[in-house]
Amino acid sequence: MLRRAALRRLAPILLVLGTIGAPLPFVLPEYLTTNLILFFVWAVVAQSWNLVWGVAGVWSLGQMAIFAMAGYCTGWLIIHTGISPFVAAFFGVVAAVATSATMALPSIRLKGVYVILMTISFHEIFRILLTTDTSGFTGGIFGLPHYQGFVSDELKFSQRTLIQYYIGLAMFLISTGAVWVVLNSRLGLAFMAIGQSAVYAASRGISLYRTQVLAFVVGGVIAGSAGAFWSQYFGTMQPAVLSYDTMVLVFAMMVIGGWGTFIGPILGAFLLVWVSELLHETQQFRLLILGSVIVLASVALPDGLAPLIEGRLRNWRRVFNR
Amino acid sequence: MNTLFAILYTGIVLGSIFATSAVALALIYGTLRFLNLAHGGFLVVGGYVAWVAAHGLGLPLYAALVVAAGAGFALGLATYLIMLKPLIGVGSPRWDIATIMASIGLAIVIEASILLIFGPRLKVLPPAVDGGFVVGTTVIRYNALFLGVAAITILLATNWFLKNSRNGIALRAVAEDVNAAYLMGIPSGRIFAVTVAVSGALATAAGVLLGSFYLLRPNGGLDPMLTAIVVVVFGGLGSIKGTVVAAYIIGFLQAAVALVFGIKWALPALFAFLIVVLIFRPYGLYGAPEDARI
Repeated sequence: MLRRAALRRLAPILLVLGTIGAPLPFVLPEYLTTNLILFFVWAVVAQSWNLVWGVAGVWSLGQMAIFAMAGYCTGWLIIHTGISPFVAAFFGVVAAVATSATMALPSIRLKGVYVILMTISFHEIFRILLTTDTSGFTGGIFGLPHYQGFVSDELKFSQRTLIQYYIGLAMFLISTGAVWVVLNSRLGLAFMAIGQSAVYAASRGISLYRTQVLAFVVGGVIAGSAGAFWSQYFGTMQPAVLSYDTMVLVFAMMVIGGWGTFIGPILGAFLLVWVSELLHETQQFRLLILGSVIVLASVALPDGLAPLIEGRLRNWRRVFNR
Repeated sequence: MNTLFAILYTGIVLGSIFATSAVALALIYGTLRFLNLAHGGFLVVGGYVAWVAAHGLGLPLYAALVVAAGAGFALGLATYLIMLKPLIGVGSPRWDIATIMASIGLAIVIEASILLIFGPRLKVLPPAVDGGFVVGTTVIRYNALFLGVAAITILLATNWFLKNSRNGIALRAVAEDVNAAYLMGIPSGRIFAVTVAVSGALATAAGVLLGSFYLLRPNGGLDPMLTAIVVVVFGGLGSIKGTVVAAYIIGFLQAAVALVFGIKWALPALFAFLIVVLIFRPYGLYGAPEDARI
């Protein structure tokens, strides 16, 4: 039940992103390539977060816990069962979806800020249990010991980075395509409806319960893929991914880019990965500047950057169509 | 028996301090529907201002407490003018998301500034009163008693302010119904400013008490802020009475879990408790279902 016009526009979007992305590792220095891999991961998480929070209006802060669950599950399976990393990653995503659905069940009875509190409780319990675990099951504060991901450790670092870059790019393109398809399907319409007015949507026959659970599930699949990728890319998993700072960074990507829009989270992720890289030179002032940027951006542009860009794009299109 | 007494003692002191910290959060949420995630930053600012007042100016702790509250008042006012005032009137989901994001940014700015100025090392506030006595196996510090009494005094003063002063009455009116209050001639903008400033003063004062009970760290505000959020939710977001009752319950709970199972379980137990509360009593002890405002 996809709108045809929307589907026709998907191919050019992916093609443009792909053609920009494909030659980059040959043009850019290596550290920027690794930065782009980080951008892929955070962009995908921000997109999934945007589906749940920005579009469906369920204020969940549980996305990083889902991400971490996928990563930990992937890594743990690789270490302890010796199965292929690809199978492990698949089960990682399954675990992420299970976590997401578990979080959804108590959350969907609540509204607004209470959902934030419910999901942050899950996140915090997960984080504290991980950091204080001394049984050796998760490696506690030190995380899981090193394991081999999709790419063999015997290759040179630059070769591994190159292969991982293309895996990351593929993951980014697939997720972006999936988000586009979801947003333009009946399901996406239902997400938008409950996000904009839950009461009206419910009175028009959209099941709040079902739609919100589905938002969590779809968000879980996407965030879980990013988590599984992250885990096999670094070959280790540490509780730091659950730190407040990481959560704030990814959350800021969604908000500053523009929540509730398609392009917003991608834009925000690109901007913040780039800004925080640039800020490394300012060293001890880095956090101060980052915090100020977040305050200024949210006060000056409560809708984020995307509406500005989309308005500009619409103008261009009008020029071309004339 | 000894454990029970220890729990009682720690619970009362901690509960009083939590109540002060959580009332600041509840006040601001009740009036502006603004979940202040920079609350932890405010707590830390209070502790460090008091440290400067105590070590730099040689003031006793209760005077440093007043200085810190004054600084918090100014910080709250600045926060309102710079961060919240431009956003008033943007409508419900936008207001919530923008203010939450901005307050997170503010928290980062505060933590980074404290780190730049004071460095990462732990700091100790001087006790207001030295010494203590022993009951059974529990050591009762005079300073802890002072902190408890100070917290209760602050709470009573806040209560007096809300019940009797013109601004306090207007604040409660705005919290109840901003439009009706506006029609009665209450300048809601000014009351918002007063609320955020008073809340800032309360938060920094609570920060001094917490800093004196524990230690001062630049990032030491996060855990107490999470505790304060749990307290506020359990009490019913925005309800002052509920917040105070909840603070003591949480204080006892935390003291009991820490003493019986070990300190490591205090926060996870708190969050598990919050999940249970949200499932069975989503609007807390005294809260009521609410609509968006501003």
